[in-house]
Amino acid sequence: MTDHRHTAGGSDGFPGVLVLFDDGGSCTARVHARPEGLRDGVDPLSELAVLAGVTHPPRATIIVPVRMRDVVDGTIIARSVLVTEAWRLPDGRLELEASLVALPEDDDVPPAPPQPIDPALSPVGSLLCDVLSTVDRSVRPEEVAAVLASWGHVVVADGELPPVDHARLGRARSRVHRSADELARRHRPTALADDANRPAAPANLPPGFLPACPV
Amino acid sequence: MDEVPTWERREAWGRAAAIRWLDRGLRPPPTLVLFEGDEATVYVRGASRLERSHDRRADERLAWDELFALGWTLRPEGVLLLTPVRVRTDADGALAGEAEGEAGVGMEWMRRRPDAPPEHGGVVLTYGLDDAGRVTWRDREELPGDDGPLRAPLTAVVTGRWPAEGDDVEERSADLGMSPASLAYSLRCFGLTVGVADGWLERYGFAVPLDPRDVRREDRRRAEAWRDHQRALTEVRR
Repeated sequence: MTDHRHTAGGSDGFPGVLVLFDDGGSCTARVHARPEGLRDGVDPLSELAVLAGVTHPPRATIIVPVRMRDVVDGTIIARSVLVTEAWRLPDGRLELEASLVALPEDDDVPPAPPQPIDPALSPVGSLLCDVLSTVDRSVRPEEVAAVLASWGHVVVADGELPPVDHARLGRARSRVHRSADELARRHRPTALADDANRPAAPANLPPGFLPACPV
Repeated sequence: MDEVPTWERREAWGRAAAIRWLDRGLRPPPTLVLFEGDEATVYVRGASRLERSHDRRADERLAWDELFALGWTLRPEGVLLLTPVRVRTDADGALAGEAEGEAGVGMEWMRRRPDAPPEHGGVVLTYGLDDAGRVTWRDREELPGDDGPLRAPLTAVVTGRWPAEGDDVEERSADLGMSPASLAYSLRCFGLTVGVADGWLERYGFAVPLDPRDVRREDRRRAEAWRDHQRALTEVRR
């Protein structure tokens, strides 16, 4: 049995990773989250997601570590990563998939094939759908990358980013923080006990259907 | 999901929608589709996450109520419900839902008719794996007569009347005091996915600004942006 509640914190010594893809399916940017701190106002995953909201890629993936616990005595029985993928179809609908990949004990063994899980159980599903469906035009992507790097995230972009004046990042910093704070409170990707309070992801709808509420 | 649900092909659509989940080893979540004529207008997918809390029965009741809320408010002409079920066939051949039964998928539908009681029907399908490991359908049983397990809430969706004891009918108000847009927003906050067919957003009243009293603080900026967007649209039309 798995306990999905103690998942997305990145507290297993393995930070969360956000990967952005272009139309051809090749990776355009990769962000490794900073370690989670005890006094964080905003969790690292919500901060990463701002980059996806600003660049508005057609496809994005968030990978977070998961500890599977025995339901009875609470001991950790396996370590895995939870891979949540979202992509936009040509007609604007979103598709969302989530799968668990169990990590082997020693490095010689190849990892097991991914095990699909209900995307509604993924703690970052609604977050991904949110950033893929709305465009945040308040900051430029290179500014977001610079702000994230200054907060301790590792940003790896494919190609050269336009230069940024680091002395004048104050405005961008406060805007990225505001967007991240809003995403964190809307989706609670790292909430522990509060996961029943997470919104649904408006994804996997039949053709011709739109999300009923754009908010 | 690659197929458009229609009333004529409702069972085929339900099978395809269920297979999509079953192929990946997942149970299909409870799904409600509302129809006007042959056309599907609203799609509501229930929150399967509710099933894993310790108080499973209470949670499922809660999820069911939320699932039907939009149907009670909009009162469509037809409704289709797709649910995961457990199927057991008794010695006398009757279907019975039991925890230890065979896993299956149930579909139940109801459609309003002028000057006649609503048309009601449904099927229960069981599935298994073939030699290649693919999911295949096994048995198909039609629901006998008027005896669907969720006949009461479905009747309420299409007629607004709740069947009470015996042949009595109880009228209840379906007015939840909020617009369909606000209701869809609330359902989304509870973890239900709500989709509306293109063209039915305006006709059902989804394209109105949210009541600010219903909106959570963290969603306020989005709600205001949506309201401004709506206002810009109406100004262009004028």
